[in-house]
Amino acid sequence: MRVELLFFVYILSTSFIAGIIGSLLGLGGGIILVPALTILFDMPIHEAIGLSFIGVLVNSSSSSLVYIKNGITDIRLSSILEIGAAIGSIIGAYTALLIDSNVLSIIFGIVLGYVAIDMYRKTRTMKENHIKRELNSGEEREYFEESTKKMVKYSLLRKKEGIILSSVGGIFAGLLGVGGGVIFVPIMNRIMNVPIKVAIATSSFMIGVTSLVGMLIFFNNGFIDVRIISPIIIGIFFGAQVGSRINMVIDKRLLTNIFILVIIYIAFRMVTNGLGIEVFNI
Amino acid sequence: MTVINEKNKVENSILKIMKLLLITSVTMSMASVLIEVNFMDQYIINAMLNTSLLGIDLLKFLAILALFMIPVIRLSIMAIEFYKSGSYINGVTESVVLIMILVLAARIVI
Repeated sequence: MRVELLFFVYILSTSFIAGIIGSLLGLGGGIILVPALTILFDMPIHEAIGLSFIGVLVNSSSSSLVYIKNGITDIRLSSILEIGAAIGSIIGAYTALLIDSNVLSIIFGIVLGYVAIDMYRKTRTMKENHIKRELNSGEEREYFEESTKKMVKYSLLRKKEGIILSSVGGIFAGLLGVGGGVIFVPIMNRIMNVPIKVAIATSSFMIGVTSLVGMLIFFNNGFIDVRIISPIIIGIFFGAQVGSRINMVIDKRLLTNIFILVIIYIAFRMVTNGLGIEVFNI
Repeated sequence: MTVINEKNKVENSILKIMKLLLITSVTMSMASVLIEVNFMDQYIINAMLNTSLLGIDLLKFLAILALFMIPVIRLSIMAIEFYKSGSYINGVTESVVLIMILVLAARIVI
């Protein structure tokens, strides 16, 4: 089965941009890819989610290569969060198969909107010395901060809460075809006291599991268009490589603000799409 | 020091495997695209495109298989290393996740 060259180029470009943004923000790319495929290419959302799982898996693997090499991924933390995430992803994926596409689109938009608002509200009160204050109260860890060329210490807190909430992240990952980073990053950063860069790197590492689970379930149920697997893989891979390298030197506050703006816009479009309201004519 | 060395060893193993499989997947994908765009009339290339596994042509199947193997092998390495270092809880969690994934994959094949 052939794919028209122009369509291939469009999918490739979209995947490339999704890869950059997803890798930069620890989101996996699905948060861009699913809306892009549904809004720009009129793809049924279930098929978009199925393809997104592949993209997220590539993004996760690609970004992780850079993050692991630079020593900012907390592999031990990911190993304890993954089980909840994987179980949640199974639940989410099977649930997605039962839900109508318009409803799924609205759910996607609402979830993103909530996450954006929550992140914005909490960044207004988040202080960097919050990490230093709780240094001696939890499991001590450290990572290499590229921008300052120094080892930075932090204390890992509330592991039990993190494990439980990671299953919630997994549900959304399986339900919406996102990497779960929209949930995992705030869980690790806000609840478990993990620095934002470590949270993003660790999230990138573990969403490979949630996306693989979703991919297997969706493939088994015939919701993955195998004709366009190749441009998704290629675009996400190269986009993720670019994004993860930019992340090593970018300002943390800028990173968070980009995160918020992007998902607010996407949330709006997905809700209007689900309601059948045309806002912009692209 | 022992913990740091063990951590580096695990990370290095995971890095090598992930890099190899990811490059394999991307290469297969690029090969699949090039073949589809340019060489549809050649016999051998046609044979490759017409060979399908689980409803996917050979190169795309290999690309997907390589992607599938990344978390599977990564989980296996981490489980083994955690058991060896005495972190049994981490080892068990990795093993459980691995088993879940293999069961889901088996459902496709069976």
